[in-house]
Amino acid sequence: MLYGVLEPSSANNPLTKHQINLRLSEAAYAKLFVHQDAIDTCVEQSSSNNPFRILLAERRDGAFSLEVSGDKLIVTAQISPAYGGEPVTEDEILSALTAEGVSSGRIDLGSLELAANADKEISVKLAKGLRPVKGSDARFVSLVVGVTAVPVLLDDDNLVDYFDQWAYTSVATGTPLMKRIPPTTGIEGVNVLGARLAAKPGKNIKFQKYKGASIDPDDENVLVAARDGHPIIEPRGVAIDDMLVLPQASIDTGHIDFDGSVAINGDVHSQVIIKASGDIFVKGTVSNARLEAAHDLVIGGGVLSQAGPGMEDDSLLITSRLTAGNSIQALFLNQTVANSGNTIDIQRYVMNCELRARETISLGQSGGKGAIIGGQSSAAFGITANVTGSNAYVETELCCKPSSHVVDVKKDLVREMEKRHIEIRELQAIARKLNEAQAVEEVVDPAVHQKLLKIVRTIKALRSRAELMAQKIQEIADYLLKSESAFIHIDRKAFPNTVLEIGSAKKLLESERRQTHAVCRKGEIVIS
Amino acid sequence: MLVNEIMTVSPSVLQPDQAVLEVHRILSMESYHHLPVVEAGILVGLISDRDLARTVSPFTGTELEQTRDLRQMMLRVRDIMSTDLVTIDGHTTIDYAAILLLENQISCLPVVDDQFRLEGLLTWKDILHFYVYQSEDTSSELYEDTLSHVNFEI
Repeated sequence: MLYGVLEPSSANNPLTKHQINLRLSEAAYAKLFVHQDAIDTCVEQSSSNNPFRILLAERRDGAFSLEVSGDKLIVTAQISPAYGGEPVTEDEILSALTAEGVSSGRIDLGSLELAANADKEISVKLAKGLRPVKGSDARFVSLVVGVTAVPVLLDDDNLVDYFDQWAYTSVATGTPLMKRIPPTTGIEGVNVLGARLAAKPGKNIKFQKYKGASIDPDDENVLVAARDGHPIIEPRGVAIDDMLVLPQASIDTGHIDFDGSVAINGDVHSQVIIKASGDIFVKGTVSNARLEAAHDLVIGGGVLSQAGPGMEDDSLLITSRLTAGNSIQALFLNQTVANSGNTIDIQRYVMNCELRARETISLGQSGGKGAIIGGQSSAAFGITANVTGSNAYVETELCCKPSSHVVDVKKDLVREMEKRHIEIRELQAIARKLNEAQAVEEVVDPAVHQKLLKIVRTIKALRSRAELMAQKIQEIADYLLKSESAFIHIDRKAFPNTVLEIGSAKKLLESERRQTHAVCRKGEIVIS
Repeated sequence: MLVNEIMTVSPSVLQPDQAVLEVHRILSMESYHHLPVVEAGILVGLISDRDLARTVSPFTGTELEQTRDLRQMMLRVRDIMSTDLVTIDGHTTIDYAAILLLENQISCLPVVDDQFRLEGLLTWKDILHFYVYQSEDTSSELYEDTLSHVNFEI
């Protein structure tokens, strides 16, 4: 203990705090724990000049206390350093930690050293536990995209087609669609006492069931397409639509080129091009657009254009164009070019259009006015309409004959087939020669044998080709035969200037007629 | 696979009136072994480096060159070209063409259309290239897909 003693003085000079601290340090008492409040009292008492004695400083040993947090994940030590006394040692702290049950593996030796060497009051985290880490929930990674942005490119004229901006995906059956990453169990924790802390596992979320997709039989964490179609990606699964369904086709959707069928629930706006390897269904109207379906093209509304066939603009679609591998159906067509692999069926009217159907064109046969006004309509087997032409006597051409292209194809095929037959005969001659030469020899030459085998296989392949050609030739022959019975049937009224062409015969109707059935007999149009 | 998929399209050609001297120069400078002879677009003959070797003296252009060697060089293509041609059309099979080459002991086949217009040249190198690098198993091909060149759309 160090006491300060004040004796009265005649000088009556009051002490200052600095003077007292200076005296303490000069006397090598600075290491002691100095009671600052006692120094303040000294300063205060010195001005009264009364005798006085007070405890100024004392020697203290180092001390510490430990606190374990409520969750037992942290042990904190409050360290008081030694003031002239014995300092706290690492062993003392370690013993205290052990007494608290703290696991040696959780003690931070660096912090322990820091605590033992503290020269001021400090708080040190001596041991830390490990918090358990929660497992991740199951998550889903899509392996396909529904729509891909197409890079905007300049064309040869340095123009950008802003309709050409999206590619709509279609997938085949069996295509992997989505991968499920299973939940994780998390990472176990441990508290300062060494007890294990269990982790909360991630949620086991399963695939959501959607039409057209199923779990891969070889991998329960993979979803595959159960049918061909367009993938619609959902957070926990993928649906496969057998067709691409869009509310409308416009600059927002861009051009659509889809491997499958396409359904447009609204209108097809100007300048849009839609191509589908299946069918195209349009509920609304088509304006200055181009639609190409490998199979059927069904338009609930009509088709409009700014200009008719032959008036196309190079940069803009001003004439609507329809192409279908099988059939085209629509409410009406106006200034449109339509090509169908088999039939064209229009309910109300066809005005100033160019129609070509491989088999038949019918108007109004399933209800509707059924009028063809102006333009050219051509079908190999027959054209049926309720009305042709108009009060304005607009020239309306109806033509029933196979295109010259078909005849050319048949000729080409016949020629090709003959060539293959010639080749077969040439190979047979070579084989015969080899056989004859072989017959003279007593031993079979393996090289010749191989040659003969190759020649036989080549003959087989050529025959196979020739047979395919023969089938096609027969198909065309049947088609041409059927086209010989072509007819034009006008059910109600044929206005003047309706031109009827069947096979090689042609006739202009100069007066109005009621029901008209025209066929070609001996190179003449016969009307009944 | 068909011949028109592997043949050399637009090969170099000769005119019947060109001098043998010129052909000699072309064949010695370029890596050709055969040159079809075409007149008004129609194939009329074929000259191979062997045809030329039979015509041109080995002393041509050397100190031992003689007058008759020079006379030979003044001959025209039509005088030495082969006219007994084995040709094929582009739509035939490679196997057939290969058999023709082997059994006729020739090394190239001019590919012509119905009017004998030259469409290409198929050499043994084209065929070898096909069998080595492109063919998986041609022997089992049935060629069902090889009719694709004919547009059956009516």
